[in-house]
Amino acid sequence: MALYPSQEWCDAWKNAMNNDPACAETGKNWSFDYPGDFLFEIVPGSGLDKTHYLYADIKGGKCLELKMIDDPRNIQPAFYVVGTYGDFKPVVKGEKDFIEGVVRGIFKLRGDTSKIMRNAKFIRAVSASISSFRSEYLGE
Amino acid sequence: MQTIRVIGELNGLGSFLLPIMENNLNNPERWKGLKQIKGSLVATERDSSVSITIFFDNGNIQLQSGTIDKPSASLTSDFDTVAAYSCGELNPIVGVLKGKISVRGNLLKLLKMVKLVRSD
Repeated sequence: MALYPSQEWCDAWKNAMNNDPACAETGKNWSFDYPGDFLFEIVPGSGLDKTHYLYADIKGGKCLELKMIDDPRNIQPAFYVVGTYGDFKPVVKGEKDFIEGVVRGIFKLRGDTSKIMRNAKFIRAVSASISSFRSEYLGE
Repeated sequence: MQTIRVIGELNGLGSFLLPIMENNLNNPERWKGLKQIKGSLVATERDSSVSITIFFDNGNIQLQSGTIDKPSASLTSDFDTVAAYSCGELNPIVGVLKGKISVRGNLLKLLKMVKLVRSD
């Protein structure tokens, strides 16, 4: 079981995403003619001692790269998501919905939200893939 | 360049929809229809019960979190339905008939106002 967050966990999520038929089907047009990468800023708390950054490059329903990064300053992602570790954990566990978290303002999302709207099913599939494998968590 | 005036702090739903709305204001075709509207729309996301209110005043559009008493129209829908409508996959009348969108108030005005969140 991979610890969330860690590079091992990133590898597991990338693998889950790339083996998920729903992601492949619904994400066919994702990032077709626009950048579709994400940077997640995980704010400390609930067991996490410092801010962690997770970068995901996704195109055409496939995850090209998913990695922990130390310094986000060199990255200009299409989508930037900020949330606390305590709020990301239930999403990773599959207990809470990521989009609902954005609507509620729990997660701050910056980027072209019209792309998210157009690909809502894909975003849901990606979000579902995150809880399709078992993970370990800090503070538990 | 047209902008939407934000009143107070926006909730997640408002923050999510604001860029789409502003993009539409700068679409000449869409702007033509929107600038003639006078009224208010309360939109609620069903699963989270988060609401926003949009005020239309002949080209001056304002957005705030939460609801108001006696809007011109109100609608309640889940995010996926809003997304489907936004990208042109769902006709709002079909959405109402199928029970995916609940509406109150001036339906004609509502159908004009919701074009503000179309992103197709």
